[in-house]
Amino acid sequence: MKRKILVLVSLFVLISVALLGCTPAVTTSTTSQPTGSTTAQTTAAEVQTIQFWYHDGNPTSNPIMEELISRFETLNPNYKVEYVGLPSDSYLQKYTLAVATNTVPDVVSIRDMDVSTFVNQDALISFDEAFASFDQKDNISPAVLDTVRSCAIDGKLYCLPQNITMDISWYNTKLMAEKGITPPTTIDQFLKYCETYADKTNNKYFYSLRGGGGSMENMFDFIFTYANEYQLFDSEGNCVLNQPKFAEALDKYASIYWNGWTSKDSVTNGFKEMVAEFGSGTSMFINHNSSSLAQHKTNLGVGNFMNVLSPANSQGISVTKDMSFVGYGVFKGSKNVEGGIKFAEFMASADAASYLCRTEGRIPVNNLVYAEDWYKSDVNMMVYKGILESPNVRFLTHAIWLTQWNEFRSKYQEPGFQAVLLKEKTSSQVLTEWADYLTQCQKDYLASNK
Amino acid sequence: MNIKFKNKLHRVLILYIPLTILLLATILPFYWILITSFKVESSIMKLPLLYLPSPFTFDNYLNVCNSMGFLGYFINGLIVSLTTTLAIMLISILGGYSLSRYKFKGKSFTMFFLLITQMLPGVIILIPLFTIFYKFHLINNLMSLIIVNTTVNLPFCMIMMSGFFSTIPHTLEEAAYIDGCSRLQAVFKIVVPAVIPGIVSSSAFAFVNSWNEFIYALNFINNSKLFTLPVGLSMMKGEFTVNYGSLAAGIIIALIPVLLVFRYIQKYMVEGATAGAIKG
Repeated sequence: MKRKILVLVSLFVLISVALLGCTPAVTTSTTSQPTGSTTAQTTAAEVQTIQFWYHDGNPTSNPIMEELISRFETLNPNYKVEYVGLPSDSYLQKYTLAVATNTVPDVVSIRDMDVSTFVNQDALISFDEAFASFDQKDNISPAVLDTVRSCAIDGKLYCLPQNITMDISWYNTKLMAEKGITPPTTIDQFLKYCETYADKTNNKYFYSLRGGGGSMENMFDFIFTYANEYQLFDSEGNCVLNQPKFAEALDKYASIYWNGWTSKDSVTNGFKEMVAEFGSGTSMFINHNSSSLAQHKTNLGVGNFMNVLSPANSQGISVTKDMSFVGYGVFKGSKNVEGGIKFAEFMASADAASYLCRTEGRIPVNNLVYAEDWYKSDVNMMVYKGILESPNVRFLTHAIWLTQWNEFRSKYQEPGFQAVLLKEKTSSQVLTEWADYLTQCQKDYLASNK
Repeated sequence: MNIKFKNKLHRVLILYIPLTILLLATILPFYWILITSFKVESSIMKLPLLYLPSPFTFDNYLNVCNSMGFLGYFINGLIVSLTTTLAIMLISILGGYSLSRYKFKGKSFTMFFLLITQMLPGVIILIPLFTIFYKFHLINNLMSLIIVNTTVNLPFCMIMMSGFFSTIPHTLEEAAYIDGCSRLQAVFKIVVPAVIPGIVSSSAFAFVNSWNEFIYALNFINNSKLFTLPVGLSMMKGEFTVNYGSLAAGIIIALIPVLLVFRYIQKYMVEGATAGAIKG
């Protein structure tokens, strides 16, 4: 008897578990049945679902996205947006899996370095046709649109850009005022400050060097400024890094570490460590980009830091990385392409761009935002505006159209730079390796896309 | 120097001091996370370092629970981990017993095959698993995580259990048969109580692994309300911002079930770790 009960209970549990597993996933799309009257047919139109994945879901951006979605749904009551914020470290894995299994969402946020990957997978739709009828198309920065188009060999617009980040220097106004100095305007002055204000005993320095993950931007800005170059490849696709002037430039940059003018930890400093050194007052000057504004506000407090253009070379030219954009793309396999395009256009509009950029410290690419009071009174934004309009700034375009670019960064550039800092390799050796690799990649790219 | 003093000195130098250093090295990171979770965000980066939170605040915990949906992640994680553990317990007891007691064709190959599966990184089977679950409408469903965690952890638990069962003499079961027990009754009434340490060890292993699992939780779930704790924690670190206080609070919350599990089972773990290692 007991055995029978045990068997029946086990069967019951198994069947329940099986039924639980086989129930459909959480559904959020709602449909309303049309009623008899004709007017009711238009008002009770089917509510369409738009699946939206955001690449940087975090405590700050999730509420921003929810607010923007709420505004979109108010303007478009026949759409309902299902939002998923993803971890910034691993969003690409999820995107790639979705493309590989053809289970893509309708619209995703997409960074400049990801566009070429998805274009090569033929995963994104082109916005060219839709953009032609976008009512704010003339307000989107042409320079940024060109940058978006340059990510694809066919020059098509595979995402609608909303904001950019710009490489910049941040300095601690309080510490500098105590020392009676102003931000360095030239490389020579910058190196002089690194030497003068290095206090190894008290672990205080002028500059936090980023030698760990993400070191490429700072390093390239310095060496290309020093070398007075702003093209990574020549007209035949040869990478210019193996020229002697770049080896000299890299030696100058690495000398900050060799001479002990920055913390010993700098060789492994990533974004978090570098910003932590700046925020704790260990250093008073760092190179990063516009998006670390919120972190500096938390760490140092408003009014104790400021952004400034990075130091220039002896010719008065400052070379900085081309603008990194974040935009919105729609996948080809999307179930609701029309809805996805509509949402992407909303996110590129001035209303959405203004709200997000104001809250997160990003730079808007829609010029309707420039007329708003918050933008005009934002001291940091005025610095970016000045940089964009300056005749003494050159923008270096990183080769994000190459699918091997991320691999170059993680397998070649970052370990290579650390090897230079640790004197395991010379600057010349490392730069030659990089140049050879990138030249091969670029020539293959040009050859395959003739 | 007399012998007693010498022995004491040896003990201090060879045992107590190294253990103290090891203990400090192990505990200090946890201590730092704990005090960071009670610090105001703006004081976390300040120098000199604050070894005690000043000012003291619960805001990070409130923020994590209220505005980050952390309690939801916690409950999802508990559902997945507890169900996985129960399923693994049941199947590995029966499977481990079979591997230990029965002789059958292909037994060596089965054991070898179970071991091989442990050497494959989970990401290799991500796409095929996703495709299978998608066809069964299990994507965006916690059941997909329960099934995959059970499958991934089962081989090791089964092998561990077979080792524990091997330490129990056959005579115990034979005595039970003589007393009128069936095979299943002998297993559950006589043998299983004798391998409680092993069951606890393998259950703890299964629980902790499924509690910490990230890759499948990220990729098989498309609804943020169904995310588990590891995914929720990873969202505390943005592309350009890190909310250290909330992150620390989230870590402490995530540690609670694991600490409670290990607090309760630690005596069984010590027994089980050595007993199961003798035969396998």
